[in-house]
Amino acid sequence: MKTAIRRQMTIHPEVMDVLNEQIALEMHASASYLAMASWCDQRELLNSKAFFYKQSEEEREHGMRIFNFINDAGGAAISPAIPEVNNDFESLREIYEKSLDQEIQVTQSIYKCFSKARSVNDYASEVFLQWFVNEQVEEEDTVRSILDVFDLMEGMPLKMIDERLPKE
Amino acid sequence: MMKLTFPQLLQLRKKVNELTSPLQLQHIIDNDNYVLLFIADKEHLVFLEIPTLLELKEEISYCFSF
Repeated sequence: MKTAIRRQMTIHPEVMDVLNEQIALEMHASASYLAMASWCDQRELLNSKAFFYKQSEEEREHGMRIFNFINDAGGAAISPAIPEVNNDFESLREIYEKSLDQEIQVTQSIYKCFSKARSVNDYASEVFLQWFVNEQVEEEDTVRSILDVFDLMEGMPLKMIDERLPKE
Repeated sequence: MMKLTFPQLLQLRKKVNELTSPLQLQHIIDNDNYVLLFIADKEHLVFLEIPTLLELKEEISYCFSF
């Protein structure tokens, strides 16, 4: 970066751009989890509703973490527009499958940010993103384990399956 | 001559990058062939035709390059 610009910001502008896209993705994921929570809440699926409300909060926290990082590093964090969220689901299993797809999409996007930070030698951003890389491994594992419960309890009443699922 | 603070420069970079995406450029060409752009916290309103817009994008990119 040119010296005058470097004195103003630590973060590389290209990394700032991909991180702003990441904020939008995290906030969209948060809104999407909220829709899933509402679906479960209306059907009294208590554990699943608690799980998705929590997930919604977590995704927002992730977005805010990146938001603060960009501004702290001298960049400009952008409050994102949230595109339309799907509120229409067929089954609880479908919701968890969609949730896994969403987590995979977030993981891929984090990898993209990580690669960008590495390619432009933005070490501070790379270190910052390491936490997200580990977090995504956990997130994906949680949802995969839940889908395993669905496989094991195939044919059982929905309420009974829900009672075996984690709340967070 | 227009003076910009650093946050205003970042804001301008964002706007110019958005306006010069292939889709947006096509949209501008299909319509008026120019854009009106607020700069420096809406202190200035500038008229930019496509070549000027692209020049501005290049200059800003240069500022932010290594």
